[in-house]
Amino acid sequence: MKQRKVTILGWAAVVTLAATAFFGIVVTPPDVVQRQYVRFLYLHPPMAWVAYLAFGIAAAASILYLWPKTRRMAFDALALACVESGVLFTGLVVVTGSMWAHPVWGTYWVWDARLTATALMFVLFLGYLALRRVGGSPEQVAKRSAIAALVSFIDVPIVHFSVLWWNTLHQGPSVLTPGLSSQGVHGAMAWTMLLSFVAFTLLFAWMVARRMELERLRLGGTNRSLEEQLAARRAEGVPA
Amino acid sequence: MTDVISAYVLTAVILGTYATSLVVRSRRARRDGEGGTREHHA
Repeated sequence: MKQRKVTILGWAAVVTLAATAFFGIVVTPPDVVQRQYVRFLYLHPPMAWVAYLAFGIAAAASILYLWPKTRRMAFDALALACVESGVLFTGLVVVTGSMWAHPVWGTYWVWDARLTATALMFVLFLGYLALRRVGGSPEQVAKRSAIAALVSFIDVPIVHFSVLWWNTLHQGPSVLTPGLSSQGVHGAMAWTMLLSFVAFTLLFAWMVARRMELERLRLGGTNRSLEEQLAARRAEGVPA
Repeated sequence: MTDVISAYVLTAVILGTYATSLVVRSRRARRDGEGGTREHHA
């Protein structure tokens, strides 16, 4: 992606995130039941959505890398960028979820299906990042990481459907179901929630673009593809 | 309300720190060129 487009994406994320914070804290009304704590609605669910999106793209990129006909190092870089952001967002989902749970549930943490599966997802993808540092040739690292990403991704649908499959303290899905308003989110709250989803998705896209650019620069190239850079480095006798 | 504001601030600080690190590392890598690559592997 061109540098100018990435910059525009970054500023769009900043503006929409600032608008989300303003609408979420100042404009939207408190809830009848949850009072001020309903404002977590504009923070916690959009970050969970971004984590799903990040790990979904990472899994798709990993499949494309493992498939011989579509094997490109760029897909490995995309998976890495997505997982890195995804782990960050998952960590924040756990922390903000606990901060929300304490006043609403009366506890920071319970080992129910949704929370446990989310914690497992965080650890699995953290393991993916650790696995990348084990060493080996770039191809070995990419192949090993792609398999790890696909194995880890098995937990993602379990996280999402856990509230439907088991009895949990965590509420059921309020967004990824048909008809947002039918789930009890209305008016300014619904629009602010949608804005928050757009804002965090823009931020995620900017992070991935920046992280992929960093990976390209880390390999020492400017305009060459990752494959060309790796070939050049091997020819120089420099470990890639 | 303090819990809510704390969560917003915490999120902003953590995401802001990661975003800043991406910008700084990219600029450094771009400036250093090949030197940045070798430094990373040193």
